[in-house]
Amino acid sequence: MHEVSVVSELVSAIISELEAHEVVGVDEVTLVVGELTNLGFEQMEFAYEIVTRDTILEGSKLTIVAEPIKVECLVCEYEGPVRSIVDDDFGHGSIPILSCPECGGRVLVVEGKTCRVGNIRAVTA
Amino acid sequence: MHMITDVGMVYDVLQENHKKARENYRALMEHDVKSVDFMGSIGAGKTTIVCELAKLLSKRGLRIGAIAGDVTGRDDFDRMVAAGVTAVNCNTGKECHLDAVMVNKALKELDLDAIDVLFVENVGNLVCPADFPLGTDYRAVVISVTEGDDMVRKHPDIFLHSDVAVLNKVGISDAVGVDPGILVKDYERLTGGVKKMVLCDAKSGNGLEEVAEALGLGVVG
Repeated sequence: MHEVSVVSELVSAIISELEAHEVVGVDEVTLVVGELTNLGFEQMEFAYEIVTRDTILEGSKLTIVAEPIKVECLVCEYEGPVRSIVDDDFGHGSIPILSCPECGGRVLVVEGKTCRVGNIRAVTA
Repeated sequence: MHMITDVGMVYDVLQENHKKARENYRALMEHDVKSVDFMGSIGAGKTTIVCELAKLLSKRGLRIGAIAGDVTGRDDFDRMVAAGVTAVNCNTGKECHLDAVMVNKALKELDLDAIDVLFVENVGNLVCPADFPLGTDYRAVVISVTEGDDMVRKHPDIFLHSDVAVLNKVGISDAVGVDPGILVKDYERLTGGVKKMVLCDAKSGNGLEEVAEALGLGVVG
């Protein structure tokens, strides 16, 4: 639901960053978005198309790369991905189980919550 | 001739929120204020829980502050004030969630030395608030039996992102034809059994002590 505001902030940040470079256009913007965020990629693509209108980013390609979830166990020092619930009654896709797959302990999420600019392919004069 | 160049930049829009959340957390910690972010569905009883918990805890000598987050209006704010809470109204205007920046501004309107506990009531929403931690000690999600027995299955992410899950209005489960056991079981599956759902009836006060306990605000804690 908040894809438009998130994409608007990212786009403003990118435009300010590009002001420091001699850029005449942008080919492609790559964003890295964590699998544990509530951001829908399709909605982000739609929002990107709208909010980049009449800016230097208009018409540029948006690529979104998913960042997988990585946790650290607070009990047994396990580090890595988590198990997921994949059965039908938990709806679409798979839902991560946020406990340690090795010992069942509490975990700290170290990757999978990001929403950052990965790269900007810019056209310079 | 035009050339293609890769421009790298360090900017994470969610991290910008997290930075502000850390600032909020430090401010609350420095003033020794315990804090809870109440997220949850519309009409689940977040305001009732805030008000009833406030009454319970103020009998024990704790001074309660609150931030009433809503898209618009002052209904929740008025109820909190009537319950004896030092409250700040925080209207988001259009946003479907509170973010750490809004809470940071609201904190500046509160005298943090004059409160011991801060309740932040988020906008009623089971999706968006999950992405925006506010810097509170605890993040709690509140649902009630009136929303149906499928709430955990329908909105797993917010349950994953919260420390405590509260199921309210259990006293009317039969009347609305909902088995609380289904919600409890779904939540246990989702959290790998690490966390247990807390059942209560905020209006009658049943289970409120357990809610306080789960939020580190119990008699001992």
